[in-house]
This record gives sequence, C-alpha cells and structure tokens, in this order.
Amino acid sequence: MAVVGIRVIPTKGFLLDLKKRIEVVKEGYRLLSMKRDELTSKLTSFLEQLKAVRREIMERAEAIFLRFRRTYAVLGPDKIEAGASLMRGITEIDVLPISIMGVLVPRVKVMEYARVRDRCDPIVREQILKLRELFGDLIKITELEMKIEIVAQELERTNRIVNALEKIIIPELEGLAKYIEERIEEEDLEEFIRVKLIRDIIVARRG
Amino acid sequence: MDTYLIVRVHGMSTKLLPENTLLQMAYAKSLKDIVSLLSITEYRELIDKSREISAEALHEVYRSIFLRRLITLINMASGIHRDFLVEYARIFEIENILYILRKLVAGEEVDPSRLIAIPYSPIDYKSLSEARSLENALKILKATQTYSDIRDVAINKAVQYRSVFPVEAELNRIRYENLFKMLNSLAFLTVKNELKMLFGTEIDIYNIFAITASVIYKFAQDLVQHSIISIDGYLIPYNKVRKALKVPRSSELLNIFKAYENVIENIIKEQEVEAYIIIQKEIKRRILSRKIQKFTSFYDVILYLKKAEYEFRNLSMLTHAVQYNIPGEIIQQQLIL
Repeated sequence: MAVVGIRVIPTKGFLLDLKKRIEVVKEGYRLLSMKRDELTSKLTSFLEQLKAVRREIMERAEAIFLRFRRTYAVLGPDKIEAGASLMRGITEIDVLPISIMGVLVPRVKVMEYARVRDRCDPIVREQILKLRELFGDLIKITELEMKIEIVAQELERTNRIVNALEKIIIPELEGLAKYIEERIEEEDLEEFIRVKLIRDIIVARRG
Repeated sequence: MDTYLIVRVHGMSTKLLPENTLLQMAYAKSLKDIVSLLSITEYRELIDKSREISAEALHEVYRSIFLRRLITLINMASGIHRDFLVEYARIFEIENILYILRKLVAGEEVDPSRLIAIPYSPIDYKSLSEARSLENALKILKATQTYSDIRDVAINKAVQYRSVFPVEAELNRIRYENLFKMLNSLAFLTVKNELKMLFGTEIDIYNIFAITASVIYKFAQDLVQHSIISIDGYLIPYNKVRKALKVPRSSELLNIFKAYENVIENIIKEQEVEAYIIIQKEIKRRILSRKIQKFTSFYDVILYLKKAEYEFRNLSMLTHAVQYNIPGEIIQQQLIL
C-alpha cells in the first residue's frame, strides 16, 4: 500500500496520526467544496450579468455607431476630424482588488472621464458625449469579463483539487488506515495466540 | 456691373448636377455606381486621376471641383465684386487657421497638405504652424492686417479654456462685418437685402448652436459668451442671443428663438445632425425663393456659389453614406435639395 509522500509504519500511534490527518483532509475537502460551489454560483451570476449587459450595450453601441456613420456622411471628414483632434483627453481609472472566496478580482472605478465639454464642436457634441458614455460601458464589460476569466481559472483549479481529494487522496488515506488497522489486528491476534500457546506450554510443563 | 461674370455664371450653372442624378446616387449599391454616374460630368477628369476609389478620395475630388469653380469666379470678377468674392472665400482661410489652431491645442503636427489652397490669402500658414503654442499663434494672427481686429478677450478666453471657439467666433465676425460693409456700397444696391438675409441666417444658426452648448450641454457659460458672433443676425439680434445664454431651461429657448423652432426642438432632443440638415434646407429654400427682378444680377453669382456648395456637400454625404451602407431612404432624407 503506497500513498505518495507518506512513510507507513503500521503502529497504533501512526494509525492515530493518520486518522487525524484524514480528518484534516476531509475538512479541507469540505471547505474546498464550499469554495467551489460559491465560485460556481458567482461565475453563473457574472455570466448572466455579462449576457444582459453586453446585449444592452451592444445594441446601444450599434445605434450610436449607426448614427455616427450618418453624422460622418452629413458633416464630412473635415468637420469630424476637426472635432476629433481636440478630443485627446485622459480618462483616469482606478483598479481596486476585491476578494471572492480568497480570489482577487478587479473592480474598476472611473475616477474622471476625459474632459470633452467646452471642447467639442457644437454639431458633433451629441455624438462625442454618447461615445464617451459608451466608453464607460465598455469598461464595465471589460471588468466583468476579467472577473469571469479569473474566477473561471480559480474554479478550474479548485475543482481539480476537490476531485483529486475526493477520488484519490481521501480513498487512499482511508485505504491505508484500514490496512494499518487490519495489520494491527492481525499482530494483536498473533500476539494473543502466541501468548496463549506459550501459556499452554508453561501450564503443560507444570502440570 | 460685372455682366460678363453674371453671364458666365449662368453658363456654369448648367453644369451643376440635376436633382434626379443625386436621388439616383442615393440608391447606389457601391462607389463604382456613383463614379459611373459622374463619368459624364466635369468630375470625371479628376476622378480618373485619382489613385483609388474611396469616399475620402472622392471627397477630395468634389472639394477640388468646388474650389476650382470658386476660384474661376474670383478670377473672372473685377473691382468690388472681386473683393466681395475674395471675402466670401475667406471661409476657407478661416478653416485653415482653425485647423492649425486645433492642431496646436492638441499638440499635433500640422499637415500642410490638408490646408486648402486659396488664392489672395495673405496668411502665412507656415509661421502659424510653427508657433509653439496657441497663445503665440494667436499673437501672430492678430499681427496680420486682416485679423488685427480680433478682440483680446477672445484670445484670453481661448488660451484659458484651450478652446478655439472664441477665436472661431471672432474670425467669422470679422468676415461677416467686412461682407456687410461691402454690401452697403452702390454696387450691391439691388441685391443687398437678399445677401444680408443669407449671411444673417448663417449668423443666426451659428449662434443658436453656440448658445445651446451652454444651456443643454452645460458648457462653461463664460466660454460660450465669447463664442458667439457678436453682430445681429437675420432674425435674431445679438442682444437676444446674449439673453438666451442665461435661461435656466432648454424649453425657454423655444420662446426666444421662435423663428427657428424646429431647429431648436431637434437640438433639445440631442439631434444636432437633423437640426443641421433642416436649417441647410431652409437656407436653400430662402435663397431660391427670392425673386430676381432683373436677369443679370450679382445675386445669381452668390446663388450659383451656394448651389455649388450644396452640390459638394450632397456628393460628399452620398459618397460616405454609400461606403458605410446607409440605406437609400435615409440618404435621401439627408440630401439638401
């Protein structure tokens, strides 16, 4: 009977230690199962959120870009480029880590949008403000997608560990414990029979 | 009176594209269809020289033809009519100046090939492009004879907000003031009212778009105050425009600018493009509706120039719209006919 990393000594003391270890491993398995369930639940929730948000934002983006194409056609490239050349602002974002079952996922907070008021040409300002809004929405989608990727990776890892524990480690450890118990029982029985035999011999000699 | 100029303009008008052609182009499936429709027009020569068939390349062709027509008229004109047309063409000089100033604000290189080549333009674009800052560029501009009248407050606001709007308003103000001054001369006696109507309407529209920036989009009032053209328009006097700056709600703009109600309504709904198309159609309707008493009138020259300008805008819009697969029905609505 081999369990990787454990040197087996079939003694009662070792058996007691092994049983304690099995308890710890089972507790770890229980906790990791809970983590897996929670991660699965979060992942499902994020996926649903992403589906809804993405559909809504893509519809809006399509409408905005369709309108922008019309505007570009009406105003011509000169006016659009004139407006665009002044839109070189900086959008400040802060990425904060939040923990989901010990897994760090990003939360993006837009600190300041690029300043476009006072700069955009009157004819194209409606487009520019809508495009800037869209930019904020795209940041939301990106945040969700990152969360999903990180949680999915962690879920995969946790799942592997839980499965390994459930199907390999715990059965092996329990098997080992059973083997040691049986060995100890056999040795006890052997000892008992040896003692009985010796007693019988001693009694026979006396008798 | 420039009879030769006016007679030539009547001849040149026959080369403008008919409405049917433009409507046909609205339903073109590709740029090649547009090019084939233009193959029997004066656009053909430049289209053939163009290296590619794309919306941008065709836009350059249309612009070149429009500029060629304008420059031909300027070269044919004489005396005060020529001066008037040169002043009229200053709109392109203003576009060039604003292009350079925007590049300076954005911290980007000026591409000289993007400047529109206008004859009789005294501006040294090279030194303007090489100015290290917006402030320096504005000092150079103010040092020119044409734009020495730019107000210092506009320059200060432009530098403070790093915005070209105050300067744009000033350049336009100077141009319109020069045009109106020339219209007071005897040579324009018979067409003065019509042309004042045209330029006054342009001032009205410019100011409406500027004012709504503050009321609807919450641009800084201080900036917007110096971004309006400070002369009376056709239907909206300057003091009314200033009053509009202080209204607390956008719906009150409808009361102040009643004459342009449908334009304001669209701007309030954040549909600037629709407002722009409506007003261009209205301007065209107004200039066409003026009955010309005499056959030979300088008004015909300006009418031709406006028609040529609308042809340029329509062709550019059609070409880009077809490239971007915008449906024909929508393209048709956007044509200024």
